[in-house]
Amino acid sequence: MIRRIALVALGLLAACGGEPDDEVTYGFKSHALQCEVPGMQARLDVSGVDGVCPLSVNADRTVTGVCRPVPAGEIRDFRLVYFYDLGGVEVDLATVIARLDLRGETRDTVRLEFPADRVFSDIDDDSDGRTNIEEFCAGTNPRDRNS
Amino acid sequence: MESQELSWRGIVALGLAVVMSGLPSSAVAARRDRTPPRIVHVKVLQTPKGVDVQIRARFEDKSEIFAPSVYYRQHGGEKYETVEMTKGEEGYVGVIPAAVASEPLEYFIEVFDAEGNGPAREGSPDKPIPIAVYEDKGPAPPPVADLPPPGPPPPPPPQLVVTDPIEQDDDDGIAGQWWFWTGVGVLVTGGIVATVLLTRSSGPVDSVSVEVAGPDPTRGL
Repeated sequence: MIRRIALVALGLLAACGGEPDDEVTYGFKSHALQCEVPGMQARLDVSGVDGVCPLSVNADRTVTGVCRPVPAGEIRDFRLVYFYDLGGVEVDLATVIARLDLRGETRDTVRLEFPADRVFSDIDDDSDGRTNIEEFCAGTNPRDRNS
Repeated sequence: MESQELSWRGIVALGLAVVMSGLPSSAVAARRDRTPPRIVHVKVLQTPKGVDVQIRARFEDKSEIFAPSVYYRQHGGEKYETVEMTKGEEGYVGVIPAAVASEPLEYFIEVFDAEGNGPAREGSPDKPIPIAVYEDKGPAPPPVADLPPPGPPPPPPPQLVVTDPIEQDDDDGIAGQWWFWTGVGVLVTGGIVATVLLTRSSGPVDSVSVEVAGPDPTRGL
């Protein structure tokens, strides 16, 4: 009986073996930091341009927005800053930078998508070994090493 | 030189007219030339024996001239030969070859215009223009007052013939020419296309709007 079951199981496995998938990936899903503390903000700094451009932080903590007008005609660096307001003091949580070549740009609108793998969050204002964003998510004060 | 039926040129002219009728312009249709060409021709009534006979004519028409030809044959013959008339500085000319200019000839001229109007003819297949052929005695001797000139009597002077078309053109200006309106159509269409292309591929801009999309900074922590 056990052999029959095993044969049936092998037959089913063989029947399912059609064309192999083009790409099969294995791995572990990254564990997102639990960060439910509201108040994170974002802005865009542009090299050679005074002022900042406020952006919207969505519920999933991604950022969107439109900044205008950005002078064209040269290469510009863009710095996306995640921060939050700690009693009137702006605390940086993370940054991402990107570069756009706007020389000879003919489009009126340019899409700038910051890559997730270039987020720099190793900012520790109080040098307590915990990054600002970790403390922000944990609800502690990133400027007080005793918190 | 080629021996051909008279009708094929009419068929070609008719086909050309059909093609022209498809040209885009209501103005063209409104001002279409419906008149055959007008022929101005000095009849050739005599020629020296064994010499090319040049048949000259001018054609006047609002449209382009099409298929101007000289049809000729031996006097009283049955079949016409054809030579195409070519455009020169002063009208068109068709040459009857010297090889056939040994006996009296007869000819007529036929022409269409590019709109298919015609044929306009000077002479006709039934009533061709006769050409007398005489022996060329070389340079004439100096005239002697008291002696009659030798040889045959002098040929009659050439006759200038103007063949008026039956129907007068209703518009003699350049605006009545089909090619004028075709050119206008091409220019207008080209202008529209150029405008669209120029507006689509504008030059560098002074400033841009930047649509920003940023990742969740807590991912991967």
